[in-house]
Amino acid sequence: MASDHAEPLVEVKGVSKLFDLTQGVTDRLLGREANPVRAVDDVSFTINEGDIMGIAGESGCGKTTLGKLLVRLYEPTHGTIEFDGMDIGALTNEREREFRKRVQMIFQDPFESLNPRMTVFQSVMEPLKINDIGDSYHDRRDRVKEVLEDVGLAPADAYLDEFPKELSGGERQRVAIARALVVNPDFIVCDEPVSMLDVSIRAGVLNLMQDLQDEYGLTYVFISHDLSLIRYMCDRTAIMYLGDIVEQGPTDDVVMDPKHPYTEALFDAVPEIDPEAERHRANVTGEVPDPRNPPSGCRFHPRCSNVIPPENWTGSQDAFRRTIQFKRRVLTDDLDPEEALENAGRDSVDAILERGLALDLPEEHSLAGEDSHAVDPSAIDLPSDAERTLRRAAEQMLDDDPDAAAAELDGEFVSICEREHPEMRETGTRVTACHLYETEERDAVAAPGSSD
Amino acid sequence: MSLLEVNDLSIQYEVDDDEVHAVDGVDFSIDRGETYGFVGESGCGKTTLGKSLVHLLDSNGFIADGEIWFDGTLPQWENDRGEPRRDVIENDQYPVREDGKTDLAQLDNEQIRDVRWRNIALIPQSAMNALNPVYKVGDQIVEAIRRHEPNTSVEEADTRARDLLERVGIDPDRADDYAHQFSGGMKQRAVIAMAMACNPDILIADEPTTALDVIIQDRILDELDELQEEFNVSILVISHDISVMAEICDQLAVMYGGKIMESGPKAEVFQESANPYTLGLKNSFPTVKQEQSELVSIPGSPPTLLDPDPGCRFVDRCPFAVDECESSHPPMYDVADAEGGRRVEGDDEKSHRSACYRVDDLETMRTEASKEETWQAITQNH
Repeated sequence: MASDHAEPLVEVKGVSKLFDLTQGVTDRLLGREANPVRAVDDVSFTINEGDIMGIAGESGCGKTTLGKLLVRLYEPTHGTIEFDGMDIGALTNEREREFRKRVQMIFQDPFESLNPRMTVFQSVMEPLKINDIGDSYHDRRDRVKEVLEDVGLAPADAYLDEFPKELSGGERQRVAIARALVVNPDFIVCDEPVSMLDVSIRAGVLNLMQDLQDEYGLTYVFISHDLSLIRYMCDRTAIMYLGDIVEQGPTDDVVMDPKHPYTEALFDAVPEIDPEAERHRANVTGEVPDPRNPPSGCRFHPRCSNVIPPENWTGSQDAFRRTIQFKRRVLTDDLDPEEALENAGRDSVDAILERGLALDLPEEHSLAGEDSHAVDPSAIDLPSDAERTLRRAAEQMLDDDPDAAAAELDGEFVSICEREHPEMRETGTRVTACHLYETEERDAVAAPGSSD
Repeated sequence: MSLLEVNDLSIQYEVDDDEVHAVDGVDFSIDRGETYGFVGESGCGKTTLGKSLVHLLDSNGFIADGEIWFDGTLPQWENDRGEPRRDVIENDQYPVREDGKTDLAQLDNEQIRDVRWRNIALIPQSAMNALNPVYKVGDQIVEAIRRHEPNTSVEEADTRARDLLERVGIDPDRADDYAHQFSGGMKQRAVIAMAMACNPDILIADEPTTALDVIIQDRILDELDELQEEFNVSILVISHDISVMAEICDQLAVMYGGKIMESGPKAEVFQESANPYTLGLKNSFPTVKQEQSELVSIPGSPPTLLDPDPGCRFVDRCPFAVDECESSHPPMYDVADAEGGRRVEGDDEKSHRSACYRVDDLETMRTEASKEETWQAITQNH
């Protein structure tokens, strides 16, 4: 399916979508700046004709927003999206009508996306009426029947006059697919199309979508949080994190040999059905941060196991990761000296180090005897000068002067991951946004579209 | 000795003048420290089953038949050593039998309250919404502790609540926060902490990770594992997600239409599946890292459980159905015997068993079930 000489159908160039750009009433009264949510942030990629492009990520990563941008349910705040050579933000009325016909969307929940007061026939025929396709009622009725049979609702006559409530979940989703197909589109964005369906029904709908792709010559975008579905369906996959695409490339490569630490963690976290499969737990700390206030530099760096130490760092990678964590805790006021003391009941500076350097990790990645709230500092390979700095900061914390502690650490232990937002760059078959892959070519060009 | 022994349990819902047979003649037993999984699609009765154990069914649901023998009894029926009193065992008025087990099915609403949380705790489905938004999270745990252990002082309960939160990886100070200040994963952890508040023997986890992202799910599963190790608690997991089950269960039961179709040690159920439904379910489930094979769906949809036909619940969607399947729902046959070509009913609830009349023809079923044509043939026959 994915051929190298395929024509690009959709080109996304530096697209961002910000929500809540205007200040609220309280913000205005208090004279605060508006603090927009960067749902999608400077994303570029290309979808080739005939491909199935998967977009995966955790909830809140911006994948649905990106899908809606692609069908122009949202206008991008920055950047352009080209569909078949046309900028979809600047279409004439006539062109727009054509665009709306060629591009369709299938939504997550077939229990809500179908109008309960319209029969299957009315629902599926509506797009024909709107787009002024078909000469007569009979013409349209025949077309509707044909599509219903294509999506496996046969004999179509039995379904035409049913209301959604009389159909099962799988049948409803098939009606939703028929409604998207009836206008003979080129490009369909599917947002979690099977997540509401039972497992035994799911496979039928997925296989149907694959069969229809050949029959109708479709290009899909398949948005899902379920990575096993992405693996099954998609030729190419983009992994999103907090509005960024962190990695994209051929699905098999992305899954089997992930480059970005986030992608690796994501796939490690998926349980395997084979009880004998070798399993690793995901090596990440914490949870997805607030998108209103994302971390600087690489959005993933506070949770990353591979955060890059500065050149003069002489300790281990693990020690640096812990040091960065300590610093972040002090700077974000997340380290409470009183509590650390209470829990440890021993030499105070040690107690703070013990707590501040601890990482909340699954057992296989943590140090011996570590839990989420305490770790033995001597087990960590900290360079002595780094340890001195941390101790000074801990002392200032004890003197109840968190600002001085913050000042002590601010500017120390600076990782490139924290300072600079990584550019998308090609590594093998992949495009990855990670500083790990740019050491040799610091001056590489920005944002290549596709790796083809 | 098993911790929980369920015999022939049937649960029905009264709907208008009809009865929905949500769970029908289910047998299973759980050992101490074991993780037992119920997997099945929506509407197969798995949640009903879990809730019925502690009488948390909706008002129109009731236990129609069966026994739930739990190894333990009510405080007022215990002697000083925490064992059931002799006179309670001997008096037929009390649902306590010779080996000290109590039949939970016969307890009334007042009595079951002493079992709930103290002995059996439930982590409800969508635990994300299980916390009360207007009380502090810590106070909700304190309330649970004090309701079930009235002799605990507020201070003591508060300390325990904080310890519990810390135990599941939440900063103890967050006990003073409200639920909306917690992220999804933290809410789930808090609800787990709450369920562990009275150190129960059994934890019923209904879809413990369904609304969570994979990375958080991974951590919660890890957490459950650790809790089990530390407190030797038995966990009854209910989920539709086969891969989650594959990861955490020791024993597994596959449910369909209110019946257990296949049960036994996890590895055997997954690797030597002996029931057409399990085989079909496995066909339709994609994997991430293994070789990709074509998914095959099971045509048709699950049965309504309103006065079901006497035959096998799966007969309408089964490619291997024979006339016998229409007569009555098959009993649980022993799979080890069936491998040798013999069809013998299995009495051992822990061994690998399958409810299928054609279990003696396993070889054919397994080969045929992996082919797409086999399943498609059903659509054409109907």
